[in-house]
Amino acid sequence: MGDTWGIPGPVFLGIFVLLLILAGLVAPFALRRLDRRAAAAHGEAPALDAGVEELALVAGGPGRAVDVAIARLVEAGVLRVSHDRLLAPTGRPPVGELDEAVVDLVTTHPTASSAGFVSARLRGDPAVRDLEAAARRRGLLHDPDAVARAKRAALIAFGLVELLGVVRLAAGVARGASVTFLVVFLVVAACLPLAVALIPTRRVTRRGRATLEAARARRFAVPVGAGGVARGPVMAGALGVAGLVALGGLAMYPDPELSALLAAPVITGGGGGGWDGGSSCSSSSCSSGSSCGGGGGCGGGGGCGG
Amino acid sequence: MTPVPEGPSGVGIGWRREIDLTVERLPGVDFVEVVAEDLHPDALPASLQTLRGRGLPVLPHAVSCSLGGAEPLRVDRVEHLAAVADALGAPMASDHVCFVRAGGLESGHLLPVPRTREALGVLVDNVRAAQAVLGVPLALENIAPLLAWPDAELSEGAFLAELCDRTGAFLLLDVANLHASAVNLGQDPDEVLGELPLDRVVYVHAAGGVERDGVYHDTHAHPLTAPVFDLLDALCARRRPPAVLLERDDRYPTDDELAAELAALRAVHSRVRV
Repeated sequence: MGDTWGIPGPVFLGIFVLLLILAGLVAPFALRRLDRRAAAAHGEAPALDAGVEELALVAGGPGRAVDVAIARLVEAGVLRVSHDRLLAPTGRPPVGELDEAVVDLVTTHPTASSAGFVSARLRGDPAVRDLEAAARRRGLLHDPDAVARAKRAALIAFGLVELLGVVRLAAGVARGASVTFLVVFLVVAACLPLAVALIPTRRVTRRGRATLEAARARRFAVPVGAGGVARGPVMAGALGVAGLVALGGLAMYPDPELSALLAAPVITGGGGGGWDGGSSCSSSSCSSGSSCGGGGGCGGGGGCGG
Repeated sequence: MTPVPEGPSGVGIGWRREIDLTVERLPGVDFVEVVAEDLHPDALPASLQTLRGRGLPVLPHAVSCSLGGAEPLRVDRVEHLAAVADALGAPMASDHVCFVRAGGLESGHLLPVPRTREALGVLVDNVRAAQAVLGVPLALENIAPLLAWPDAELSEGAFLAELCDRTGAFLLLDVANLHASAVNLGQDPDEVLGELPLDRVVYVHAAGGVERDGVYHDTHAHPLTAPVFDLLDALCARRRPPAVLLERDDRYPTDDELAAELAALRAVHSRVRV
């Protein structure tokens, strides 16, 4: 009995693996192409005039933008927080669409409105969507639809390879050939698209990452005091409270007592397609493209916001 | 100068859960008052422990003893107040000159007592019974009446004066409630002040309210009003009470606004009068 399709089993498995590797490269290449196209349109230089909300969206996603509003409202005395972690309005009017949405929610949910609750509830608010659209126009974030298309292409590539393997399996079984290794390879191959599925559709552009790095650098800027003497890093100096929260979340609120109450154990936002926050992933573990999950799942490191 | 040993002095604010952190951080708070019914003596909020740790007096204030009620005194309510006072290490405790239940019904409001000799006798008995349960001195507060019973035999001042005289109780004088009596019952607050035993005032309550259709509502949800400040000033001119406390129970304003109200109370309270 000859080989199925005239190709020996080990050779087919080699080809199969090669095709899988090629399929695995589709996502990183497609995303890199997106990055390059965005860079061509908006450049890669940091947007130094980016607002705190835009920084928040780039660094931590939509929930972070809501956190920025909460921090700003608490700082301005529009909201207060008590030891039970609940936010409450003080009667001072908020300014701006998102801030108004936060105060409205807190007012209508007086017994539930922890910062985490507010953040989870408003991350999809029209005011946040408007901010995201603005950040996209400025070239800081990719169009999620474009990222979704790139993911889809990668999934199709994996699908085609898997299909080839299944057809080979059927042919092999029909001929009574040994298919044990092929089955093992097929099962493993079927798991690879998961890594693609986990790529967040909210993706930061190169310009967005550069903007974030510039803002982080500004946060630790050493202001020069009178007489040219450096006074040491003044965290809140360059960016203000909202800026600190934009970069690091409510845990960075510069008042430790308040930050403990605001950043406390909270209801976390939805899972799939979520956001690998800039703060949780800002260490070196995520800075290179490949180290953050198999199969190029985190290719380009974009999911980590730099 | 305080008639009660270790009693409060200066300016205080009512501690409420909604503003616990605010109260801890407000400048110029010399003591706080808590509603006894909101607390469990075995599980005091950490915020109150923090304040106590700073040496601030924390004074329990009850609303449910119904000392003016004609029914037998609910000793359990008084015992709760005593337990809270004990847990807080408070130098005194207080409730109102009113009744809150009758015929098995809870009114949910502080209702005025008829100012008759008979009602006074009931009050005196209840206050003495409460004092026997409490381990600390008891202060009694005048309420904000929306109505008064007909055929009063005594003025409010004389009624309260005799109550204090016969029981040895102290006064927790609410100037906003005094203003409420003035607006709602046409009572001359200056006359009441003239009759009250001002040397028995442990501290003063001041609160905001609103006047609607000629009726003053003691809401504790609005800013302090000028008449309340004027009454505090008039009281201080007669005899400066040891302390004054801001009561706010709803629609809590910003920390800044609360601090400003405390500062305004302090300014009136500490003004040098010649």
